[in-house]
Amino acid sequence: MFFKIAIRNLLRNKRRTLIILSSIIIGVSATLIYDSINAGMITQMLVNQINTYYSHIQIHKKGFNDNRLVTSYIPDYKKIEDVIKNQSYIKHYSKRVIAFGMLSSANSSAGISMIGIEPDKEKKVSDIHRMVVEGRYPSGKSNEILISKRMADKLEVTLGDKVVAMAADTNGKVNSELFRIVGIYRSHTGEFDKVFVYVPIENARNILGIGDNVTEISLITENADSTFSFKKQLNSALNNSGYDISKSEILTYQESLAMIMYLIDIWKQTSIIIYLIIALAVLFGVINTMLMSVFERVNEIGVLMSIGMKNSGIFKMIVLEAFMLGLVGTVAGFIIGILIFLPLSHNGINLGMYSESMSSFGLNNIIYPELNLMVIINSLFIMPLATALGAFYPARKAIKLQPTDAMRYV
Amino acid sequence: MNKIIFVLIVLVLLYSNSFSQKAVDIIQKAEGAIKGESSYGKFTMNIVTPEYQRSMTMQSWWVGNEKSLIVIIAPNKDKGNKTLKIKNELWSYLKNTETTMKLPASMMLQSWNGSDLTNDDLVRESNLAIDYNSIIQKEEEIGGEKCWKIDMTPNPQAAVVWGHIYYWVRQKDYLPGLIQYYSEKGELVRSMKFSDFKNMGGRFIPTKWVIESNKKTGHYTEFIYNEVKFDVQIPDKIFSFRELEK
Repeated sequence: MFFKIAIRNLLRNKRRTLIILSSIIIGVSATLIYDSINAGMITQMLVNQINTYYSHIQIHKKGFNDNRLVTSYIPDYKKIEDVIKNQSYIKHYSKRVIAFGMLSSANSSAGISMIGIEPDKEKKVSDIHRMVVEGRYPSGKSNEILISKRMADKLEVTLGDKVVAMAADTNGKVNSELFRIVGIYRSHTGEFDKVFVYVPIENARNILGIGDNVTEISLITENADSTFSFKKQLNSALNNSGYDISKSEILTYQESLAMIMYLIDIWKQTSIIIYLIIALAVLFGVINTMLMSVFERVNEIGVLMSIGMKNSGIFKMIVLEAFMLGLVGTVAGFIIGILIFLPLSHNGINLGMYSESMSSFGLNNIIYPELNLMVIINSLFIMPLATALGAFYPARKAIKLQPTDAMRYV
Repeated sequence: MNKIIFVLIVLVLLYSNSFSQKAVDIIQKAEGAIKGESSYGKFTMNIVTPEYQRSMTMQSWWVGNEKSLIVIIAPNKDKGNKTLKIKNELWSYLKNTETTMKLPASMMLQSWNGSDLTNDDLVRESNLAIDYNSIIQKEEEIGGEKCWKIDMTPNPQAAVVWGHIYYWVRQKDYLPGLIQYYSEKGELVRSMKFSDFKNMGGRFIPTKWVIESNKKTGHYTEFIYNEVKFDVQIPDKIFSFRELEK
């Protein structure tokens, strides 16, 4: 019965209902789109970082990330490699040697992070081979180098030119080696392009004088979401094999990309705050509308009270009215939001005009909005609750009326 | 017939070998003439750019190419700043902050004291005989003096950024006249000119060296010798950290 009355009351003044409904619809659909764009951006940032360099799990010498010394190569890496080969959840792995130094051409020079890679294995672990825009990916022959477009512009070099890389070895002696540019890449991250160059692992080892050691092992697991449990499994497998795990450090991408994980947290919190702000705006709209409708119906409410309707009944009637408004508005807003979202998520949003700042955040030019559970829950539940909450005050006003006065109210 | 061809080939090889050997010898002679076994010098460095001009006076001690110490004596702002080179490592001492810093690899290609020289230029001693294949290309006149123009091509594996170096050596006195550094694309990147040939410190040497960066027009650095002594006894303790921080 209350349900019926609520609907009839809403339909009595259609214009008013539509106005408040549209504010809810716009609120819900706008937050949905905003949230999905944000979610898409953050996923892209994370995926880009994982694909260009960080992979799922990385192994270093303990403390490597705090102090990146030449001597910080993984102790006894061969034992780790043996263990890795026997783990079914690890799909691919690649060994890397990292050197910090300088790259110079006849014209100019630049500071570099030189990554010594095994080209075949690296292909399976990172996407850098897909980012080559000129020339080709290193074939594994010695003295080939892959540099970024940005680096090539800075050094004023092109494919086939020679560059000299310099780095200090384990004794502090500066070694240099000649490289030929075989490829030029462009990643999504400007900061990455600024310093990273790729050379065959043997050349990097030679320059650093670290024998056949490696600085980093990168792993791709079968499931990016279970990296923490894989890390535990790997840890215990290493322990069982007799490897002293305290000398090395296993980091999942969530740990090595702490900055982006913070960003995700911040995004979650700000999206809740934005929801609350929109809910608050809608809430006051609802209070206003419902107060109007209560004052219009003072007579009726007086009659209802006189014929014996309980206060709780009147309260319920008014709150239900508002809740219906919120529910219908949310559902309609959600549907409209999804209708806008679908083509966007398919074609992406082209932000090419901001490409410079996008690349400094590690983003592509095209953003693909993304829906996740949190976005859906937020948009579906907050609005109906807010509208129902907004009806509390008008409903209280209604039950405070004296039936005798109310009936005589003009 | 075969024998004759063989003999001819051997002769050609011998000849070209001796020829290239000669080019290396000429360059080494030229380098030796301006450097000596050991030397003490006082020189002025003028840094000229289109926007400003700056002048510095320095004292330097060299033992071969192994060790050197360069001390700035003017202007007052930079007075007491020192650069110590031992083999291929550099230390820099800043008087103002009283700090000694070993220059890391990443700073080696930065400008030395704002000049057109890089830190690496002070340290880098590519081995002429090993890193380059030198031949006498032709004879040319530089500044009215007959010179050999020597074409130095880096060996494919040598860690050298240049595509070519042309080295002009005066035939009369085996002194360097001009050095030009080309990139692989054939652009002139840098040149070094020697002039004001004079008797100084008992030797006939070029007393003005101009290093010009051809990428930036109007930028060049002049070194003018005020005083130089060759083959002097330099106590080893000069090249120590204690001396550096004194």
